[in-house]
Amino acid sequence: MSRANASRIPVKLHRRVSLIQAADAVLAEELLARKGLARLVVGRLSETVLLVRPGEEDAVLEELRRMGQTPRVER
Amino acid sequence: MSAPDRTRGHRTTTMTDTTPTDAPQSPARSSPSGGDYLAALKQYEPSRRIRIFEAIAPDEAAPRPGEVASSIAARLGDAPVISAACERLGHRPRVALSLFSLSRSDRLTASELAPALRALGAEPASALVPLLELGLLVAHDHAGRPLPDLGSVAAEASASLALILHPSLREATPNTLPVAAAPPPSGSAGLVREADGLEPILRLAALWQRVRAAPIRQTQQGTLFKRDRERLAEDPALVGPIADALEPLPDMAGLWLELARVIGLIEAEPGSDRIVATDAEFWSEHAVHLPHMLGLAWLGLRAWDEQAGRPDDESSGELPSPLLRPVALLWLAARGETEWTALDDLAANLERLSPGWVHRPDPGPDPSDPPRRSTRGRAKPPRSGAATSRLAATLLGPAYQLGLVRVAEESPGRRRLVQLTPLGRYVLGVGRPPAPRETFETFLVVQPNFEVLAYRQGLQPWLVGLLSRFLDWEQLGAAAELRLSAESVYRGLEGGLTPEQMAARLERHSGRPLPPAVADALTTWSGRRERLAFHTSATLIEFLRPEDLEAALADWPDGDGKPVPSRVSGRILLVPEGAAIPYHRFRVAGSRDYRQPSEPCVEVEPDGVTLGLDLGRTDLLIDAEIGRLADPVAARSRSIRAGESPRRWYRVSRGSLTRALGEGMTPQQLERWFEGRTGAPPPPAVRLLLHAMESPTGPAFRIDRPVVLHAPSPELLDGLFQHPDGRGLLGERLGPRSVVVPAGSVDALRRVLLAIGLTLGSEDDDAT
Repeated sequence: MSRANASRIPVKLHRRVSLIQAADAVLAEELLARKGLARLVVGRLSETVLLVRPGEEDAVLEELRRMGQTPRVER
Repeated sequence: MSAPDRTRGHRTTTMTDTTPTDAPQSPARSSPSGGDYLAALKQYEPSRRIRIFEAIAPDEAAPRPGEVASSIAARLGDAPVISAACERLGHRPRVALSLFSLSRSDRLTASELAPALRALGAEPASALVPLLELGLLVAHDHAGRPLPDLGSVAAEASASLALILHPSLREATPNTLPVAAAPPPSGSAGLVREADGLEPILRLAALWQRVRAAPIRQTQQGTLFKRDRERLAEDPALVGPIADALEPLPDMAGLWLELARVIGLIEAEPGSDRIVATDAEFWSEHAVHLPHMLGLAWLGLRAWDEQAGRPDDESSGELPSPLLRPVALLWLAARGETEWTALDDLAANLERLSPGWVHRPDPGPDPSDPPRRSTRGRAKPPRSGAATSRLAATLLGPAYQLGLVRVAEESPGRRRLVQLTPLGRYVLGVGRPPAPRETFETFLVVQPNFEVLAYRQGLQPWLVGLLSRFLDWEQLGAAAELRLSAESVYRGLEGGLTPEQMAARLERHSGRPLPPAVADALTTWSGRRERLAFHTSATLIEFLRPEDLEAALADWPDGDGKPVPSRVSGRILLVPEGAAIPYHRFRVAGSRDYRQPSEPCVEVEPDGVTLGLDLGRTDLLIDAEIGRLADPVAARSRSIRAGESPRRWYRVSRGSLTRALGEGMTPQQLERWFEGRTGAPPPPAVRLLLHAMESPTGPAFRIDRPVVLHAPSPELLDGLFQHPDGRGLLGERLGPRSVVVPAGSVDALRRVLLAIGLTLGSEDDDAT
């Protein structure tokens, strides 16, 4: 491995990921408590970030709106 | 500025080649490409095609027989050729082209065209034959009957005979006005009424909001689901009475729905049965042109009729031809800008020129046609005055509401007079763009209970669009009632407006500061959106160690105002769209696209229940997935070989599988997970556990003490299996030299061996 290459920071790229980012952990918990939404969430990346099952973006948005949430949608 | 032609949005001038066996679509349906034209041309007799080629390219050698049709289509695609062909046309063929242009049709049936041409004073044969001779139109019999000669095509009143326009004539065909004996001029006009043209725009704005909030679903036949149909048909903002109405509009929800479809305000969602609202940008891009776009859209509307409304079932037939609309407007356009025409004079003139056409709801039945459908609200008009009634429904209904015609009362006589407005003349292509309406800056009343009253005098199409983005239309009348709500503010934010822009717009048009409750609510509702972000296509960078993340973040290049990444966790950064990733600082060990199927990153150890997670190939989903069906184990199953990525170990157990199944994972999903993540079906050890859980009362494992025969050599045991006296006494072969002997066969086997000169020893013999 060349010296230049060795000095670089090893990373993994995750592209086109769907996730929900809540302002606080309580809101994230509230979302997970909703059964319809919880089944669309694969896991939790942190206290406030939920990983969404790929291909379920429309269903998640619909469920969030049904909950009365008004998420900022970043496409 | 000219209006964008969204009403022609479904059209293209691309000529798609099709084989001669590709039958064109049924008559009176628009074709998305020129394929139908070419297919119909290829079904012509060769001599007819040659004559068309010679007519448009007299100086060129005829192409090879198989290429004549495509050569004609290609030649007419050249602007000089099509211009030269059109210059040779007389007045009547040009009138025929106007009907195609104004009805936004690529094809019309002979039964539609012929009476409409007569109503414009153009004898059908003299109008259509020149177009057929030059290939500008091609005829196709949908019922498969042989085509008559060109002269007879026009005389055919068959609904199965379609006339298909060359694609290059779809755009910018100038409209030609009728010159036959016009209706007599009217007396002097008084009590002039002209609609503000906002009614359809307001209703469409309300429809857009309703569909945006809850998309509507349609069946495979294109009709709406009952629940959605009723929801729209009962919405007061869509079907409430129109304040300035001269004629009732049947099935108003259906009219707005069809107009919205044609102009692209709502659209079918690809790959689903839903109709969804288009983005809010539609309003900023097109609102100013909406009067023109809607006028054009209405002229060609086929799925809604002024007397029948919208059919219940689109699959079972056609509504009356829409050509009455362009015919009536062309007659009005033929009059001077200030001249009025009495409605009953116009009806009488049309009756005289094309008897029975105006009041007849359908073209004559054709034997090849499917049975006609029933339509909601359709009633046969009485013979007397039916033509005037239908004309009134057309001109005083949608044409008046769209602002295409104005109405007056004749003096003396008190007959209803009609005249094209400047917008009407512009839509027909015989006038300049109309001057904008006088504007009033202050026309809103914003009330503390979030209701907003809008006086129509101040509304403009572009203002309707702007207000639609963040206010809900609730009631439409002489004044419009709107409401500010959390949902409407959210819609505005999602459409790109800021809370400040919304507040400023309300203050500007109400002429005073917002009531404190409204201002506070606007701030609160806007803030709620910031509490939750949904990223549908985010880029994440995962670091091995938190300190790597911190180092990368500290040296992240300043992007001249570009968005900067944010921490998702101690090792993961979220990179917003538009942010530049400094790849030169990173060594990308792996890249995963989450729209693609998941990749194998788990190895099954030889024991079948230990899973090794290859950390070099993992993605964000795997931890959650594997955690459902296996438990982490600290101890390594084996040493990592040189060059291998680090592993994390998990073990599948009855407890972990019970948990997975309890959380809703099915055995089939488990099977798919193993195939996707390990590249192989579940190992036997996992199947054993699954079997134990699925079939606890199934066939049991069994234990017994078999008698085992050990032969001195495999060959001797083979001999015993082959010998007719021995093979029936042996059970399952356990190995090359050993076989199970059923308990009841030991003595018989001993006798057989003795008979052939061998003895059967025992364990005791070996011991001694």
